[in-house]
Amino acid sequence: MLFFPYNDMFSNITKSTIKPSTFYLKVNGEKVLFARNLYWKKDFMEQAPNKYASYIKANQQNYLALFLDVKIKDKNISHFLINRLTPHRVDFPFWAAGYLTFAGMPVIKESKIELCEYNYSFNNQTAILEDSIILLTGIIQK
Amino acid sequence: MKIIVNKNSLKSSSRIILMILFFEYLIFIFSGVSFYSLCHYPYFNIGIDPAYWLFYFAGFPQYILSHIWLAVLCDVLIIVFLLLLIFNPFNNKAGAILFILLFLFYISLSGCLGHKNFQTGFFIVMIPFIFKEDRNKKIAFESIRYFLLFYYLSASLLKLSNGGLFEIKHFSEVLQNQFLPYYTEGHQGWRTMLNVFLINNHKLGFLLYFSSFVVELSVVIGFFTKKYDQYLFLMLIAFHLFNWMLMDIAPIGQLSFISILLLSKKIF
Repeated sequence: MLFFPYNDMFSNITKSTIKPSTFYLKVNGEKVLFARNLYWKKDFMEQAPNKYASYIKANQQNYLALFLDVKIKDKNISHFLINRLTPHRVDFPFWAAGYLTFAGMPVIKESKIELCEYNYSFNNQTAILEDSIILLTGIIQK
Repeated sequence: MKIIVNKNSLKSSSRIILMILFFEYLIFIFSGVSFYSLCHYPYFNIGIDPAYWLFYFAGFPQYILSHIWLAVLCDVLIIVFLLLLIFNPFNNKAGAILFILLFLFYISLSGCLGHKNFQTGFFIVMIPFIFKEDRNKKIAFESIRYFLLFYYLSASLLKLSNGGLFEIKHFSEVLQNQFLPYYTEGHQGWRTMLNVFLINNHKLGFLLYFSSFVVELSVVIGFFTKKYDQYLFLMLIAFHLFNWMLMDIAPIGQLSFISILLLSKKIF
């Protein structure tokens, strides 16, 4: 609740089975980098691929759509609310073009795009990249 | 109850808060985050908060972000109204417009971001500026001061009730996700070294987590007296600087809000 003074940041115990992971968009094989950006831009560019990957994994439905579908029994009302409160189908090339625009990068037609997940583990010295998975591939069509 | 208002000190305190907010908004813009930069980003997820629902139901964020001219206008208006208010902090009409614009900006940003960013201070701090009467303005400052105290106190209480405080490895596990982009992009330095060190030293990590709990819990003093507000301010600033250093979460967006504690003696 936005107007309720409530802050549960990092108070919930994380499941130890969840691997540390980060998500990147690749354009023609090159990662779209963001770590050196100032806080809010870095946060956005880090979170956006992560959230979009969850959306894709949930069959192009976000959390609110799933919530309304389960909680509201009247299908007409739930469809009406889902239609107003969640985005219409966001396909990968369309999302990638929006992400690149936000990043301030050119959106070039016919560029090959990939959404990648990088999984890590840690030893005493550093983080170790365990594997990387290509979740989605596509072509920019502007 | 009679409320005494020292107009000059309220004016100077308001100016300081607004200047900090102006500085924060400039950082937003220069980092590349504004209405304009969110234009045409197609995805949003607003969660189950009715405050977001109202705006998205009315279609305001969607409309602004699909019209570049309007997004640019909103950015310009935020800067103009901030300057106007710094010049005259008692212009409540400008205050009300600025509150709506900053609130819309937060709603649009966190909608596109897909999760609630807890740094809401940059629009909540505008609430007192909506009021015309000095007396009401002062009561509003008092209210948001309590909001601020509850906000940090809730963080400590939820660390207790959600169990984070009872798991010694918890903070080390949280830290595993905080610097991954730096590793992925090969930017390693003292902060990433510290990150690995704390991931491998659960007890030290727990001690830091416990310290944050103590800092957040200590704001409870503010419910009984304003005498220690400046110390609370310093503690919260130190807390946020450590957050920035250890977790890469910068306090931009929250500084003007916390500064109410610093200026508490002048405002109240």
